[in-house]
Amino acid sequence: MAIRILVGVKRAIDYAVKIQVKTDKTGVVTDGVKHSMNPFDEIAVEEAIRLKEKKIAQEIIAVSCGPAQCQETLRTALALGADRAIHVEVSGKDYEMLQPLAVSKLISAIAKKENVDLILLGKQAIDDDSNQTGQMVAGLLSWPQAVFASKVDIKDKQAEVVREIDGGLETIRVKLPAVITADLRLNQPRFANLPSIQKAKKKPMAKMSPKDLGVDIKPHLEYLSYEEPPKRQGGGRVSSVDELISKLKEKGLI
Amino acid sequence: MQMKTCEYILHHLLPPVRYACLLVPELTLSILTSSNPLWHVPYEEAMTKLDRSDPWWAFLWPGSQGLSRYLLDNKSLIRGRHVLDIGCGCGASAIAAKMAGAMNVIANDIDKDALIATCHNARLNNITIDKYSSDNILENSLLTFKKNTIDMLIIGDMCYDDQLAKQILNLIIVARQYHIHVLLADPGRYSFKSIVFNQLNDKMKCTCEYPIVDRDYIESDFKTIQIWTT
Repeated sequence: MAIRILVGVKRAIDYAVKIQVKTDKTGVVTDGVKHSMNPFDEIAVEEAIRLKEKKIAQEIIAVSCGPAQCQETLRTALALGADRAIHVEVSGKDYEMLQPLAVSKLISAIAKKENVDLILLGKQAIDDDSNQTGQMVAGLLSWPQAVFASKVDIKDKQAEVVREIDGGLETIRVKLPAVITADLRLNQPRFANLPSIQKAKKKPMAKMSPKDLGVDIKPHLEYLSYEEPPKRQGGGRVSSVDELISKLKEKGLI
Repeated sequence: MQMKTCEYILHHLLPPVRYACLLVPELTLSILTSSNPLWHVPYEEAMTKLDRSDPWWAFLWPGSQGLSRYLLDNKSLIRGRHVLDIGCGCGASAIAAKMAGAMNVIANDIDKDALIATCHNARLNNITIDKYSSDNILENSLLTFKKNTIDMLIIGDMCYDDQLAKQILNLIIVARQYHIHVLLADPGRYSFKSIVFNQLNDKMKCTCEYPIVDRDYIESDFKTIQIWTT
């Protein structure tokens, strides 16, 4: 029986953009800044498509939580091969304060509603680097989790996943339904060409609100301030080992 | 602001494709196909090259393919008619209607680039389209039907979301009041079934079905194009 997959995609500031912190330290500048699908989510989408191409999966549903612009990110997922998309609308101040726990609740609600066998997510978003959503979804659903996946094999309602961990590689087997998060080396994602993007504009895109899912997205964490990392100070050159030693002594380092 | 005109794109980036698609080899069109390198690059690169983000008119969609084939195969139904093609895109159906013997053809699209593309493509096929319109007919069908003598309305694959399907449904209802014959192409979209066909039921019938055979347009969800008539 081919499985059904839910893939989460986040619209985040593009990796190549030079981030600017707002002068009032309440966040980073996002207006007019290039956004794109979180790179780890691209890897998750690619893995879902490959599973569908191998006929292990029969349907891929893409979901994104955020403002109207998320629909562009969802269109890209559709263009790459997702069958339909769900946009959970969260905008304005609500979106500014949308945190991983709330997103996890939303994704869990959709996973239950759609009765999926597998949830594929990027391991973390490159804007907040939280690395929490996958784990919390698994916790909320009481599903097994296999995070930081660098290889996924699915057979007989089980997933064998190779995980990249500090000590090396770990292989675990989890029963479906499960949550898997994608790490960098899981695959090399394809890109969407223009015709597939245009075709995707005619694919079904469902819209709903957190209220429709019975989820309270109120934040539990308060962000105190955002600051740029300290500016890199210039270095100095020394002309001899003796000078190096005296400079180090000067700075009280030896 | 766009720097490249549609004319520029048609002349420099979209060379005429003879035998534009397997289903309608009679047409030569300046469209994007998989034989064009722009088909294969990442979409952002293609959009930058075309200086546009929504070039619907640069493709020969299955809906248009099906309609064009039907028109060319049923000349007796088209001969002498006054046809309005709504959402003409590259103009294939409008051109096919003229080729099939329509007396008068109006090509309509809210995107003015589509009208430029239609004019260009008509010329490639030695056809003259009688009138071009960029009116938003879905928002104001009465005005269009009052302004022009129309007895046939052709609609490509446009019922892809509920809102559009409702507007198309209303358009068809008004067209019928004006005794305008309607031809509509659909690949099996949910919104067409649940809204348009659901309401019009016995007033519309599927008269023909064509397989989607072009590799460029094969999608896992749709295998054929159905032609519906009132």
